[in-house]
Amino acid sequence: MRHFIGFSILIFAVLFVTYFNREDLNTTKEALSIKVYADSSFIGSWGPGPHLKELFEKQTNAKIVFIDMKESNSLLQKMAIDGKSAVGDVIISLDQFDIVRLSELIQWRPLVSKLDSDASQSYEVNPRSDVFLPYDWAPISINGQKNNRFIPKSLDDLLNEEMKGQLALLDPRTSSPGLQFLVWVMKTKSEPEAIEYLKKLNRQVHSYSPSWSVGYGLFKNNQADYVLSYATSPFYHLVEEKDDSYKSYEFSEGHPIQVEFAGVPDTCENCDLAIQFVQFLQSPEAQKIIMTRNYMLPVYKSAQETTVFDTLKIYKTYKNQKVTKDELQRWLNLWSEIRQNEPDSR
Amino acid sequence: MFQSYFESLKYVGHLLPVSFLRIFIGYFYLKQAFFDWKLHIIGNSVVSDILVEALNKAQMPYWYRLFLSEQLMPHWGIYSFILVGVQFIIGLSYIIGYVVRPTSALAFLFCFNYLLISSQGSEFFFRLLMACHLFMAWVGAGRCLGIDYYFYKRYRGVWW
Repeated sequence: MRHFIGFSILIFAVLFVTYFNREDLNTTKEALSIKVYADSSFIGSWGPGPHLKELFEKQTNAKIVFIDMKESNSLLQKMAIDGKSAVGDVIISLDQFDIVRLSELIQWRPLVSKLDSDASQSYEVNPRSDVFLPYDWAPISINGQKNNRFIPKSLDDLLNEEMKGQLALLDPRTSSPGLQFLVWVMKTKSEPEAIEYLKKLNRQVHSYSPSWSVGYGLFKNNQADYVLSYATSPFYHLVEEKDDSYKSYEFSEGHPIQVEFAGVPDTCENCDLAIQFVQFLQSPEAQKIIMTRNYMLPVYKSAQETTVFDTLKIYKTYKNQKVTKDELQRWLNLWSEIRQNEPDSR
Repeated sequence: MFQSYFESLKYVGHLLPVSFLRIFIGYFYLKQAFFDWKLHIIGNSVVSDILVEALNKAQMPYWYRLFLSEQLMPHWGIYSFILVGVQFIIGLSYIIGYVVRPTSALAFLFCFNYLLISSQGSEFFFRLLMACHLFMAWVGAGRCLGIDYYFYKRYRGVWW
């Protein structure tokens, strides 16, 4: 037992010494820094984060520290609990539904876009344009491969016998595109029709994956012929893999769009710099980086000129995409109820 | 001590697979400790994500919820330092095979705590980890490819 106590004391002593001798305590702050919460696809080495960081740091002599935001829900709850001592100057990777459901948890700083309104995309889906600025967007679509025999042209076509067991959908409780699909159905059909449709679809789909990457993985591994994804996804294969066999299908109902936003919490430490960073995300240089790394469309229209993104056919979007928090919750409950009550047909 | 480290292979070689498991789990704890050190201690994170997750968990004893919200969260800085320290103790002890039995008991309690606060999805993982710690303590996993063998030869007793 003496050995164990000694060993424990030694470890804690080393930790204490390390803690009180750490570099940031001994050196004066040379540059301002901001802490930016973003999802892993944004800050990963393949994402736009590292390139944006390099460019912003060069322009401002400030430092950016990215923190992986595992889940926007728990992050904002955590910040609400932390109150004034919350850590984080900027939060990005929030879509319109995150804002509807979660933005009230904490206070946000007002933001003004520096982009000329003629040069930028405007979105009716932004529920709080005074505190969140968009930085990319893309229509949601059903995608497939060139050699698929059946081409769906509407939501009802997804119930076609040819697609049975071939459609990889996403769980709306855990995946943002999955929630987009649920809202798509609920908004373009009357509620009884939508319920009936979802019941039939449950018997039709291959699976409901918890995240986009899992669902897309099923599609890429040829376990499903169709997948719920972004209309811009085929560009990834075209540019990175020189493969033009991936297609997205246009639907007659009009498509939902996913817009990603950035905001500055009221508890920010370096607020001016944080606001500057959010505005920087809309600058032409940053927009090009986000577009080519995230494979999403830029909010600054000119950024996509003379690139492969310029060839994207802009699908018609369905009208009135705004939703309320109560609607989202009710539809999610409805979806869960339908899922629970449906026997697995396969 | 160095000699007995390898000598253990000759006399308690049947424990070698367990030693590999011990070193693997030790590596896992050490990696997590470095990650948490950066996030919670250096990064001054005020509350851990797992605590926020825990407070959302419906099935939790009332007294434990009270402890989390009234004691642990207001003093997260101190508790996070202790929790990261415990992770370092478990990680290093398992990797070098020193005081593995008492460390396993500590690790068992540590996992039990996480079992109470983690989401349902992670419960199975923590149960499995608890089973591993129990197993380590039972067989005295530090006796093979570990410093414990040196002390076991000299002092015997239940601690090695």
